[in-house]
Amino acid sequence: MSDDLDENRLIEDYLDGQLGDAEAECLMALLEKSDTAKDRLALLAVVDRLLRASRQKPVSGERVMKALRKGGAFPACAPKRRTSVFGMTVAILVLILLVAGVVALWKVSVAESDRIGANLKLVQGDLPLVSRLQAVGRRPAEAGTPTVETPENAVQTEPIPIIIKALPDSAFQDDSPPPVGDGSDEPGFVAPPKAGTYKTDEAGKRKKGGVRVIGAMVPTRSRDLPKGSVLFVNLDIGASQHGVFSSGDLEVLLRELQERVGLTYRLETRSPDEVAADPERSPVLYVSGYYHFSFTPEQRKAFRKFMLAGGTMVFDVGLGSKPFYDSARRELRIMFRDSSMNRLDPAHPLFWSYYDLAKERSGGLPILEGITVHCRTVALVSQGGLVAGRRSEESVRLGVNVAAYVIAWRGWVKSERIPAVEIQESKKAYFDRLRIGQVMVGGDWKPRPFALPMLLKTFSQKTAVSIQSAIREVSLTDPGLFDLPFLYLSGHEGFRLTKAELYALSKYLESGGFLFAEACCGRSDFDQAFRIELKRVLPDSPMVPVSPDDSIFTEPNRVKRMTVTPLLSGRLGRAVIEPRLEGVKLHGHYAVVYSPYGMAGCWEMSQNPYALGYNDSEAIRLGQNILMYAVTY
Amino acid sequence: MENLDQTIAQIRAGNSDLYGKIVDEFEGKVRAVVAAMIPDPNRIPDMTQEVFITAYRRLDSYRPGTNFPAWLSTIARNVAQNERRRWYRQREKEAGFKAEAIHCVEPQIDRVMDDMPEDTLDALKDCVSRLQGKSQDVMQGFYYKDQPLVELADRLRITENSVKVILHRARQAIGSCLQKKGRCHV
Repeated sequence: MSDDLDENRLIEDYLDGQLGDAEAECLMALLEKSDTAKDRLALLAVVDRLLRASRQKPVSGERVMKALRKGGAFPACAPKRRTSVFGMTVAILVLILLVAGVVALWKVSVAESDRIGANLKLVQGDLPLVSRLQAVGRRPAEAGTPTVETPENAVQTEPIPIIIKALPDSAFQDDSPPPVGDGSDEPGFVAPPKAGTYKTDEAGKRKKGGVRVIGAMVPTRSRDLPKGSVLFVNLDIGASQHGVFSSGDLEVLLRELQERVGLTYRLETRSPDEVAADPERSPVLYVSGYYHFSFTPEQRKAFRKFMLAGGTMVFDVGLGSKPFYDSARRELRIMFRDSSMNRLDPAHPLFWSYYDLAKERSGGLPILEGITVHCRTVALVSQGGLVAGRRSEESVRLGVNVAAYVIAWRGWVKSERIPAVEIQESKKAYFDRLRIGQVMVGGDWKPRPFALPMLLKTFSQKTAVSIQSAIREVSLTDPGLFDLPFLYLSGHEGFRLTKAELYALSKYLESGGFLFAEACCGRSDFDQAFRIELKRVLPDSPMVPVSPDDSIFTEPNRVKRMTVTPLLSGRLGRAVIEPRLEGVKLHGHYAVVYSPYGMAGCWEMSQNPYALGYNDSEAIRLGQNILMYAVTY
Repeated sequence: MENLDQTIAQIRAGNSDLYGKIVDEFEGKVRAVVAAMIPDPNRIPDMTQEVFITAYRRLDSYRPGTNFPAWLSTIARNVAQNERRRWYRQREKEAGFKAEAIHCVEPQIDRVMDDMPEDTLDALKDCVSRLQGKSQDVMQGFYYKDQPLVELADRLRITENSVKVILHRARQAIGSCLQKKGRCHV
């Protein structure tokens, strides 16, 4: 009974806006353990909000029409602007005043910054995302109407997209001689099998060569195929590439997907020029073959755009044929000159998105390589034949995982509406003060390129300290390492430091440098590698959990509890946890701070479905604290 | 509104002034959806306006003959969800716990909205009018006349705690009433 009363009181106080910090924590604890309490609070909150809304003045049609006209929705009705000499003069005067104001503010911020971090050097840098960051950081009270300004629409309803630097058209041209011939005379070429080679019996379940064989290899009748929307688009890059496979194998996979997972999708075959740019219409472009191939510069540009908008390309090397593999790598290298292709580690979601292949496969995991942009693998190359080749249980399981991964990301991109868009890099330079080194180690070492600039922007706003940043990509053996007071190390994959790198990092930390490291998306491969390597760097200083009372958790934000992503919540059995940081103390302060859970995705405000990490706002608050610690100690 | 599809066809054909009538007709429905979903009541008018602006820009995607209010309601939900996300991301430290609590019950709030009657604000008016005695006094004073709890307690000659209890029960009664009406609609 008293519990019930307490619950009522907490909910009442919450609705009346009289909840103190301690009571709010009690309410959170109550909501975490009781679904009934959640239902009650939800109903009462809705009633409360409706009651408040019911007394508000209606938004009239006239007001909306006025806003539409103002926003340029009706060009014919939009008021014409008149330019006069007087107006021009006033505009010029205002401009001069603005410039003078900016210079004055800049001078003030220099002095402020010098006070906080006397050892930070003044350098020139480039922050191409200033407009976006300003929009992100705007506080609700300041954001009278729009949150983010877009050229065509003053009232923004879309969340902020992931932004990628645009490549010039010339980047899509070949920079090396294209392959001569079809590759059939090259070493490593494997010819397509002839029709009938892989036929099985009617049951299609026979063991063949120790591998369970799935599905008969007879051509599939169109009426047997699953209907539903398109998942795979089989890219027709030349009849000679296919042999007897490709679409037949994908059909088997789609049927298995329907039977095992209950998802109904279908397949289409199109030429590279017919592919829809919208990933909603063709989520996966599947390319398979045995011979050399190449795309035109226009096709490459279109495919890159497609992938950045949420689509995925899968290159399935027929029976491991090297010419096709080389061509796939070459094409992807041209399409993504700004990213590198890496072998996917065992912790990559593709190996556990539906079936946990690491547990189930006795013969090791298949070799998959991919290009990852903002934590999403946008292109995949399978060396051993992903769905083509043997129709084994193992191949189908991997195929189902690929489909699950793509579908999950597609749903995420759709619900969050955060496709990547390309921008032209700004040429404008800013005078910066805090120099940060993004450490280049093996694998995908820059998974979230805009995370730090965005965090720095929110940090400046939170602390009222203007800290522009110059983020420099640096190897640990770079002589300029010691000019950088703050190093940031992140990644998905495992890595190993050379002796020279170990020595340099050790010296750097001993000399007063600060390293913040983070397992992007909470990936275990990076986590394990980082722990091993740090032990080699500082063998006498073990990494220990940062105490909850440490200033890292209290200044400038008090971070006591953090909500986590659904995936991490599922693993921990809790949606709210105490923040977890580890660190190494040298000379009385932390020289290394490490987060085993992903934070950078949140700093970019686009956490992903496969992330083991914190949610957006909490990670930003904690990130601000880490920055504050780094610049003040 | 009679001949809704015809009006929309005329708007699409260029008679944009008719859109004001659509706004006046459906404003209440949209405001209810937006109000129930966003945490900051001060943003309701702006968000309601935004729904109609977005709907106007996407009018081509509406298929005549289908359910226009449902189409509009989907846009309202999307706009409200975006606003909700934005609010959580940008919330200040002081609002942290409050935001967290509401964040925690977001799925339940969305479910409650599904159970609400179509003409939510009219139904709400009816439910409020059914309250009697002190419940009616407290409800009117607190929500419609902006009277603080202390003042209400003083006027009704009861303790502040009693006012809170009455208010709480009145909200619960209104919630049940709305849910019943929602079920009747189904």
